[in-house]
Amino acid sequence: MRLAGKTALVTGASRGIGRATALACARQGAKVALLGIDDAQGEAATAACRAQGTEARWLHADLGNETEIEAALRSIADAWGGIDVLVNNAGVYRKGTVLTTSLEDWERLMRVNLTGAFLCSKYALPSMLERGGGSIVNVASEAGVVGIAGQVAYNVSKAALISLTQSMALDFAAQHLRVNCVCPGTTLTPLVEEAVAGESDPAAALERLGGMRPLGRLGRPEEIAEAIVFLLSDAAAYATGAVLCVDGGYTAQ
Amino acid sequence: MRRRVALVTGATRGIGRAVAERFAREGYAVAVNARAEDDTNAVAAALRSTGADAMAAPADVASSGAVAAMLETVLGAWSRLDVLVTCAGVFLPVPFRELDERAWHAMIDVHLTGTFLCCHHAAPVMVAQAAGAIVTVSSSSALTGGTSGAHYAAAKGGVLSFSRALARELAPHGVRVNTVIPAKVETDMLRPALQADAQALAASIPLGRWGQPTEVAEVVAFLASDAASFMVGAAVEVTGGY
Repeated sequence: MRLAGKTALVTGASRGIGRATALACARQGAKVALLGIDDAQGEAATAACRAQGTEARWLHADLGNETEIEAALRSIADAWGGIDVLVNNAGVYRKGTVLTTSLEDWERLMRVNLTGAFLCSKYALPSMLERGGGSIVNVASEAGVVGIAGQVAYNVSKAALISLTQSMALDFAAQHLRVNCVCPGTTLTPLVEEAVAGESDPAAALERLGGMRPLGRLGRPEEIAEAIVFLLSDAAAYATGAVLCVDGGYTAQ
Repeated sequence: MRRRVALVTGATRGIGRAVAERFAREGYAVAVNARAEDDTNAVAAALRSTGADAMAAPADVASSGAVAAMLETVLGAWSRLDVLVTCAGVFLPVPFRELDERAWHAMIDVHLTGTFLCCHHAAPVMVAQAAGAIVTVSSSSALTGGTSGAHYAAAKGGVLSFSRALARELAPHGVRVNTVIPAKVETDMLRPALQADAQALAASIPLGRWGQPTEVAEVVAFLASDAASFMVGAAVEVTGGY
């Protein structure tokens, strides 16, 4: 088991890629803290982790709220003594160009997608460093690597998350803390289903999004989770500051 | 469960050898390629002594005929090819003013033409199987220019672009192509440079040390595995942050 004896924190863990990652961490032997705002789905995901035979706990916290994040991290430290691996996964999505994006939506996206990762890292790092290092994986997006039309705030938040990854990798490499980034392509998650829900034919929209990449299909949350767990594990001991595209070939085009 | 077959070029030393050992441990039948037949025999024997299935597959990867014959030997014995990893390479740093045409071609032939020829002969097999994974080996020099000469950077940059283009073409056929980008790895090929300036070089790497071949092999094994089923045309840096 690749994460035996480790304590993991996964944000945005109630559904989608976060849920699949929490489950994959549990399967690899880690104790898992799942963080998010949807208590019903979060508790269900937490129970699914426990069913893998490991300890798991649900933490209610909004990634946009520093007080709640600090409290959540403190509660893990009290219960488990700190964390070893962190997955900054939580994210929100809005369509819109510069002209059609409100300041409120812009700030909400930056707050959750970028500042949330900053804050979780800020409050997780002291215990990680105290425990001799660790591994952080930020979940960015193919939209942070290349431009995608009509979703400017999302693109910018994810590009910045890649920069946060590289910056943190440099700042903490000497303390044996690795920071890497996974850039999923469009993955069959509730976030993506909601994003196409407003289209006249959502199923056709999903088909089209899958067809845009060489593999000709959308990703599955479990396929992204595999890459995240790989980077978290000691198998990736020499990878830091790396950007791992798991996108069916989209950014290779 | 059917046995999976991996062909690893440049498999007698450095990253290639670590990759061959990694696949052997995982239960793959491993074809060990390098130019020198004696060396491939020795490494194949060493793998067999650990209980693995392994064969020597000597060939100059820059020779189309030799690569074709190598593939025939592997397929003759094991009937399929699941994984190809192209590690064969040479490292001959030359400043540009001393870089002649011969040195240029020697570098391009092994890294770029060698990668092309191995893929050229292996891809049809994988397409016919509707399954397979290719992992090519580029270098941080492809991204930064590096300090090992323009010919080395060009060859490794070529490998990266080639791999991405091939990835797009082969993905619809069930064949995934990805690339690893190592930087300073402690191999026979780079050890002279390491000895010359070990401290200064390590200090230039954020993790503060050179990488080990096994650490690159782990990433190669991941990219070749079904765990990476949605990864196509990716270029994965294994650089310690360099």
